[in-house]
Amino acid sequence: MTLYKTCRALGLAAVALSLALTAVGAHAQLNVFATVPEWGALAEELGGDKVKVYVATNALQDPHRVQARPSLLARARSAQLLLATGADLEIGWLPLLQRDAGNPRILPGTPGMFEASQYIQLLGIPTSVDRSMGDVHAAGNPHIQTDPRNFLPIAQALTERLILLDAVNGSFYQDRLRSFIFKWQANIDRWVTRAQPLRGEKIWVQHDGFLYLNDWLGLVQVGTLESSPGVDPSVAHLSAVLQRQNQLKGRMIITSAYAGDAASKWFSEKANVPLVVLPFTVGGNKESTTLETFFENTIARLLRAR
Amino acid sequence: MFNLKYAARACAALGFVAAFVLAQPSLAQTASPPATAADLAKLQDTIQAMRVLYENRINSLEQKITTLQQQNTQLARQQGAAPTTGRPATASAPVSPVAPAAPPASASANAQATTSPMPVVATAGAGSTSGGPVSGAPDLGRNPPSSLGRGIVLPKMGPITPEISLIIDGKYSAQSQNPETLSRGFIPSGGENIPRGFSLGETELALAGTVDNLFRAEARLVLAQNGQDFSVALEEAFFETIGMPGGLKVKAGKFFSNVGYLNNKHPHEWDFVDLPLAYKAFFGGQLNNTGAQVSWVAPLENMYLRFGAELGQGMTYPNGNNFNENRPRLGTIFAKLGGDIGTESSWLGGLSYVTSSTGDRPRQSMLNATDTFEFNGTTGVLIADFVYKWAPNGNSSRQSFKLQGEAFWNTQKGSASLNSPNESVSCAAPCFGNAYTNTQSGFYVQGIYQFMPNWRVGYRFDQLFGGNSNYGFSAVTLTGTPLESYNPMRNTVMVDWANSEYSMFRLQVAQDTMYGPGKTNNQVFLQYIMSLGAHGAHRF
Repeated sequence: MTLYKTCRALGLAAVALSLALTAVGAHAQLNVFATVPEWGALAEELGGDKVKVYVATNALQDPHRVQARPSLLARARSAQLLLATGADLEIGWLPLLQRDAGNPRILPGTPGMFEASQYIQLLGIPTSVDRSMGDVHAAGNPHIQTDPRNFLPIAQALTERLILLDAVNGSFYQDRLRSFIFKWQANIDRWVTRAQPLRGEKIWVQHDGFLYLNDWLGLVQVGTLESSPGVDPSVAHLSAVLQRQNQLKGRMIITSAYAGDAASKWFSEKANVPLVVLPFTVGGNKESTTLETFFENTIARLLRAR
Repeated sequence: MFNLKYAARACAALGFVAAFVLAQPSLAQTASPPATAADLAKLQDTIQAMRVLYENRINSLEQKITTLQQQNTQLARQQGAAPTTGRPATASAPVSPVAPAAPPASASANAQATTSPMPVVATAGAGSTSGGPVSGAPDLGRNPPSSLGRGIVLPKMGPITPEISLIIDGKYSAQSQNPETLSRGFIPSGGENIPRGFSLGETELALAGTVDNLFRAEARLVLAQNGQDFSVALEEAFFETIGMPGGLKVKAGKFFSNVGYLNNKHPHEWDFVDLPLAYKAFFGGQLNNTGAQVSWVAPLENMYLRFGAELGQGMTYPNGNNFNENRPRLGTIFAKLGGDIGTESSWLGGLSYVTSSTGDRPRQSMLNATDTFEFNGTTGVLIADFVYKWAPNGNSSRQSFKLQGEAFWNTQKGSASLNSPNESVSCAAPCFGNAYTNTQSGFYVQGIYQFMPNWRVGYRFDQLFGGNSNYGFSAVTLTGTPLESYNPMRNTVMVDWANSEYSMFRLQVAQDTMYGPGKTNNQVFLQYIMSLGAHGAHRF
């Protein structure tokens, strides 16, 4: 008997509490939950004031190591559209969010679940995968945001999805897509021209996250500092890398804003090559506040290091 | 190749026309007003935008075709030509005709698994083996870049096979007191102890997967060491709903209760080698029952609020053995509230209540080899828990901190009986005590600090209060038995090193007074935990 009464009381209290805490009044905006800053920025470009975007992680967080924090569960509960990269980038926490947030709209396979990597050609697909190789992504390299050309097919697919979920604002989204496409293509042409001196430039990277950037700008990656993905290089390994530098003659060492740069700094000093810290995504440094400035800043930093 | 490019262009052109037509819903209408200049301009813009998109697609496809062509010629050259300079001739070239002893059906799978140990990565445009392991080890001329992108079938199981994982755990321990001795102050709850010397912890085999669009299921088999024998037990086997609207979830089967914080965490997720004293005293380990759970997540913006209730059959401590009875005898309710503070910190707090009754099946415990203690009545446990986590910029790869604690209040109402064949015991067998109410409590607090990537250090403090009701007997009756009133405490320090998220080693040192005054117990533990297979995400 006591259990029933306690349950009832607790249940009433729960309803009262959540009614009190929930914002009053329905939003006309589409609730978008983006796992990483680049898709949040893209959603804002394409959705304007018709979407309300929440970004789960920031550019200074290692995207491979994110925990399903309470606020993420709360935000996922009310999300209508979930934007993720896919290709196993968010596999450490997103499935838990989809299961435990109590929101059937964002489950895999629903219209509310959008995986950006499905709409482009993934690079770096390994032929065999084994745990001894470290943190290898079996579906391909998931860091697709470093090539601006990828944003075009993704923007098209995202607009189609926005129209599917919010048909009333269909023509608004189509207009936004059109202006985004023109602006973006013009940007890409401009950046390619500006980055022309970088073609064929030999570079070292700390972590193998720049596959798409290399592909776009024609950079030649001579190797990585990490002995296997996701594992910090040991001093012995770095010395061996330094020896190989004598033959390979890379011109700069590149790392991301979120990664610790101890290994890159050491290598930069010993090999006497400039260290370039790239933002890696929107918000990676104070200049990269939008998608456009993110790529501008990336190219500016690379050119400065030549 | 020539045809392929043209085919690609033709397809793209058709696709572009189709998309253009489909993107203009106004074209589908039959009786529409004549197009204005603005409409025409818009149409032209749309065409131009579509052209930009498809130009890009064609360019990337052409680039991909060029890369594949280059790789093809490179592969043909390497397979046909003599070994090039600098590369010792190894067995890396003949990839397919492998292991004549292997059964022919699995030969191709074996070939991929055994002769291609290093990642061979397909890159487009750059041409060099970017990202290949630049290791200090001599370059053994491993497989030439022979990948052809998406054409290769990876030797993995399809998505309909459940996720399988195996976790192995082993220990070495040195302890100054015999861990099989019953601790003082609390009813013996039958929890597991870590034996001295080398021993195996729980070997856990877990299978989980989606059943269909509505349900998900999970099962956990535990192979544990019991003295000198090993036993297999089903620790969890349940299903849960995944698609219910309104934040509801239903779960049924055998599972760890969601009360408290640590109760539903599996041993490989613990921060220490063993459970806090409070769990051993009040739950005999972790509360685990066969039954059902309903829970609900409130639609809040910023904070996570979850309520739940469970019903369990009640076959383990603190229940008696309520097997084969119509009425379940364990009920729980719990609430969890959590939120973030900025981007760096998160917290989660909870309040839970467990109620159980023995019904017609009193709880029996052995006080020693001959004497039994039986309890008949109800037990109510109130648990308050909290956890606080911090990481610089929210990035826990190099540095992080976690503070966590729980407090238990345990109230027993009922009566007990002692049964001892030993005639010198001051109570004739069986001897019934008076009805009593005993309030016991306990808490633990632990802090874990990750000071370097892969390294963590932690400290934990446990304190229990045994209460003083003497279980309805006179104080004299219980002197010298494990039920004698007592307040044990423990200090624990640990340091662990994890090479990756799949392997970990831990050194733990503890000192406790569990066995009574004058019997200080010093313990040292060395533990390893290794995991194979799919490794799902851990809860916050």
